[in-house]
Amino acid sequence: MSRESDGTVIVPAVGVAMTEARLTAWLRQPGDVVRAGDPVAEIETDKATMELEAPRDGRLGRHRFAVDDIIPIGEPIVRVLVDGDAIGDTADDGADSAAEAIDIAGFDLAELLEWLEQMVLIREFEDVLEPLAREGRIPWGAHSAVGQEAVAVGVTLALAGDDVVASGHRPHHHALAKGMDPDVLMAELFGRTTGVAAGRGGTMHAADFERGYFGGNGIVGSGLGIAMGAALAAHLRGSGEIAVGFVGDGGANTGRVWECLNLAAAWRLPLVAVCENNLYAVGTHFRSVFAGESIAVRAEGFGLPAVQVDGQDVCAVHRVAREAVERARCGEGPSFVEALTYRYWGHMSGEVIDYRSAEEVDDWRARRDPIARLAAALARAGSLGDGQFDALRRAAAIRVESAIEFAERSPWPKRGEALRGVLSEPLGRRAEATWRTS
Amino acid sequence: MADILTVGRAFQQGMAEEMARDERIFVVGTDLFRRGGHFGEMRGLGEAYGPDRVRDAPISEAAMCLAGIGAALAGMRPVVDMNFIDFTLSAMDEIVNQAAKIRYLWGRPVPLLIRGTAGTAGYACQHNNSLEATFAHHPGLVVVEPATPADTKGMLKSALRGDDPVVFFMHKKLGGLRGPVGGADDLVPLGRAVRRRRGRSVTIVTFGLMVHTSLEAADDLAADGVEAEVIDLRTVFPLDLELAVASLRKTGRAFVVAEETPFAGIAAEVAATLQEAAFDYLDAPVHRLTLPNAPVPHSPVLVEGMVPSAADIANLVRRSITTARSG
Repeated sequence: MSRESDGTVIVPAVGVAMTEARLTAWLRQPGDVVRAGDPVAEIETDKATMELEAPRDGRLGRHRFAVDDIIPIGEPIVRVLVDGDAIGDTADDGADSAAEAIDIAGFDLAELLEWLEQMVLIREFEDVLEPLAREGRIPWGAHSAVGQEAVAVGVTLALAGDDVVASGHRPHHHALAKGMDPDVLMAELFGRTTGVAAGRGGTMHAADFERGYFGGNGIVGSGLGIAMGAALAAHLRGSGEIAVGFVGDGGANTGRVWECLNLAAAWRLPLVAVCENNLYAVGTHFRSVFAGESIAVRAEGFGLPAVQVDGQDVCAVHRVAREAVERARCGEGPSFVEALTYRYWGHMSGEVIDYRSAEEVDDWRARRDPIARLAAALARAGSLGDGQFDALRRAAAIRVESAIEFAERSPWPKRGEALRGVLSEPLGRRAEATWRTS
Repeated sequence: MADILTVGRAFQQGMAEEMARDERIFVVGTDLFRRGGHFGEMRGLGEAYGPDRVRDAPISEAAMCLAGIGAALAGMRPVVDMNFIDFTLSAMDEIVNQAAKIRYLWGRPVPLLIRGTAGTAGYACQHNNSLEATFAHHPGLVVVEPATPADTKGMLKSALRGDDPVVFFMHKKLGGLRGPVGGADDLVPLGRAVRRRRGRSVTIVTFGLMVHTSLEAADDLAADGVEAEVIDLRTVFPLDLELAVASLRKTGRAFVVAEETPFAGIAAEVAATLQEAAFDYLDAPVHRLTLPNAPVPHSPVLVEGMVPSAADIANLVRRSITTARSG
């Protein structure tokens, strides 16, 4: 098998006597988009220093060695990946191995444990929506983001409390990560008066302005625009706040997303645009309708930093988010992050999934699950003991169960409520009166 | 003594005064900072308030509106200048599906003003759409079309101090109309019609440029001893028909004149409401006079006859009265 053909970069033999080389620098980071011929690493032998090049276009996988490691010739050091590969992939990682390792170096373990707790809560919340919808307890159903927890948590926890998040039609994980109370979110899904939008919104329309959460949105790509507007307000006021707008791979094909990104770049607004590429816009595979190399490369055309990141690695997501947030905060303008992720459930509850194989879902679950990967890393680091993960899950399940109870015992809104609050008063009463003249 | 200004200058003065009064107000649009907007309504604001608050945007209507909506949610009071009102069609989701729905969903005010130049004039079909009914049809928007300098300034102020998304129609042919305007704190309420002329014989309900055309028709009719009462709606949504209904109960005849395509329009809405509210007082059906159901073409010869004229209105009134007498 030719190493070149699968994107692997190896340490070449440059002299007869050479048997090993020292890695002196990584020139590109995991997740970076690279083109064939781009230097990705620098090595040094006793005779010379040389750069190693990417053998094909794609994005860089994980670094298999650290700087200053002594590496024998012929050894693969990194692989250039194409769509469908996870960042953690390398040529010799077997598909049957357990969850791929993530690098938690530099993170506070206690903090990571809190992140894990948050991701598990989101997982438990989102997982229960499917049965609740099937039982008719959530009217009309819901859009679950199971599998995408690391993107929400990795990005949102890079923000300050006053920073703004605006989302799209698959928004619960963002809402929960921004601190929305699971009770009022669940009650909203149930259509009850205690819901965060008093039962007017449902799955796509929960907002919590007190916590800087500017809502989900039923229209693809619009959340990014609303975040852009909030970033403009922050800029005009000099408040130092920044805004994050989430879109999906579907949104990346709407005109408004690129109009807004251009505006944000032209005006140097404190905005972080995060695209959750979960490969499917409802049932249409991203690749079947997307022209160009990647969403991140498309974004780069707007003259802002754009990176692709393994969205199933909360630490990797957090690293790029933190950098983008810093840039925005310092007045250096917007950034774009394409997080490669996956949803385990269908586009919406009750959906018959005929557009992807069960094996594909199983593979994402087995190898790239963001919760399993963080849990494994914490266990390896000794900060997640035996039984502790199960205890976390049980606690989250109890929390979600109590949210369901809260929703179920909450009253339905009164029917006439549907007419209220369309406009401010006194215009609202006048508008109401136009319905019936008699 | 009150200033005498054109409609265009009245808008500019209202903007300048409100921007001085409230730092949260800023404007986004094309050709704003130097040129003061395509029609000059923002002239001088760039110099006075700087490029941050008088903000040049690319031709990205959706993004401009989203910038306004997001900023309004964050506590600002944005004005989005859409140049021609027709260009709002590129931001229809943003206006109808975002701005209009947010208060209803979350009780969060969206104090956003969207300005556009409207009405029938030159440059053919894509710059002469009548979109008043389109916006009025969607709950959550206030739709206004002032007809005088005083209303332009006073209603602009009400919109900028209010808490609702307002679509502000400014007629192309009224920009140069001169008249007195109110002072810095004289507000003209939104959602309130006004009587422009008293009369006992017939009621004409209208808005925008057609207010002036109707007043001209009323002068003409007065020569025949027909006294037309002219009601200027000023706000298209929410409609205030109290004056119109009271007038109709007095005159027994109503004519709705609207510069719009006829189907499912403002005139249709007004006519339906008037007959529901005053059926027992009617001496004749409520008549509508609108544009025909066709796009507006380029050639002045083709455009002529599409927009109701004073003679068209007077003739319709005369015909209605004569038919009733002979019948």
